[in-house]
Amino acid sequence: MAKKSEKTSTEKSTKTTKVTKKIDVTSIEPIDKDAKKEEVVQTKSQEKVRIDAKKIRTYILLGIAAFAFTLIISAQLNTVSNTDIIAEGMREAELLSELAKYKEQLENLQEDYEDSKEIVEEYKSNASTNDALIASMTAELNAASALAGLVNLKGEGVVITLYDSTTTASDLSIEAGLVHDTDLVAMVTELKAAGAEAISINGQRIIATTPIRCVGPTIQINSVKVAAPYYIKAIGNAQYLESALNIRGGIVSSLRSYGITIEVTRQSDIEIEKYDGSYKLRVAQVVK
Amino acid sequence: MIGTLIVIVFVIIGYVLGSDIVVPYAFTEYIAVAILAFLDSLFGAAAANSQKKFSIVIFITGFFGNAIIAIFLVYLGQKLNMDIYLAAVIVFSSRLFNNFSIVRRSIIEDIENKRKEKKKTKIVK
Repeated sequence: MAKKSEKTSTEKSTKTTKVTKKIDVTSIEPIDKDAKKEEVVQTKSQEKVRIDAKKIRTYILLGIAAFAFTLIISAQLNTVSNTDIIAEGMREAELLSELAKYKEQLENLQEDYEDSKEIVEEYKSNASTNDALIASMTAELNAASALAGLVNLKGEGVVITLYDSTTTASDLSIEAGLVHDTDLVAMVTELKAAGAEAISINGQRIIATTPIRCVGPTIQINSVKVAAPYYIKAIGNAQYLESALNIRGGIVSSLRSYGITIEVTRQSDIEIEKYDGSYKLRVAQVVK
Repeated sequence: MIGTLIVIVFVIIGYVLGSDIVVPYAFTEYIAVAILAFLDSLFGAAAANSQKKFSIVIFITGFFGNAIIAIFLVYLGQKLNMDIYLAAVIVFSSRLFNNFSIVRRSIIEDIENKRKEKKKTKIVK
């Protein structure tokens, strides 16, 4: 029905335009047809009212359509401008391919991460084993160098001072009142036997290759000539060392009988310097 | 004049209301197709008007019906994992161009007719 009415309305409108044209044509004619003209104008106005009502309805419907159209377009533009720059203008397929690409990248990176993590773990475990090895080696080295006399040592022990005899005994020669190399060797041996762990004579550390030998008026220890008074320092159990020296019939009493002045003092904190000479083995080789 | 004013008012209201709406991004595809359907209807209306065959009922039903069908095609295409909406896009676009060519021809014919009339009137004078 509406369709039909629309058609008729359009037909009518075309008719009216024709009519107006006719009127225009007639208006050019002489004015003796005034009444006719008025009638035509009246019909024209009536038709106009009807057409206006129809037109307004049409325009309102058009307006609704335009409203829907602009609403949707502005909403869409708003949405698209508000979305991320990356997502803007991309279709779902593009985004999916992008996503797949990034996923692959992620997987690769994770693999790399795993690999490097493994390497780090390996290094860590190696380092820990290395550390343990190094620690044990350093401990061993420290012990060896302490034994070899290559490091300063400190601890409780005794200090023995030997002076040459100032007054000679009547029935003995002057020589007997002097401290001989053999006396020092005997003293060192006695201290070692009593558990001395480090011994030095006048700052010369006694090591495995240390000679204690008479060189004229002096005694050669570690290629250094030392003279009386002799200060012997020994680290070890101070009580054992002292009692070993002072034992009845021991070395101290026998030396004292020669007029040599010996002082044995216990000290809680003795520091013995390291051996500072050359310790290169020229002939001996380590047997593997 | 009143008619154009009414339409302009509706357009402004639509724009103002639409600028406050943010559609979820997943729905933008549907709306794009709906916009294309609307455009197709508008051009169809213009073509019909140029041929004096315009009907507001046909226009309104086509305007909303096409949009709904286009949206349904997008939905179906997503469900079937096939871009069925492309069919709607192609049909709408081709019809859009056809309608535009119709409008263009009618306008050009009108202009040519007017020129001829002017010439005729000149000859008459």
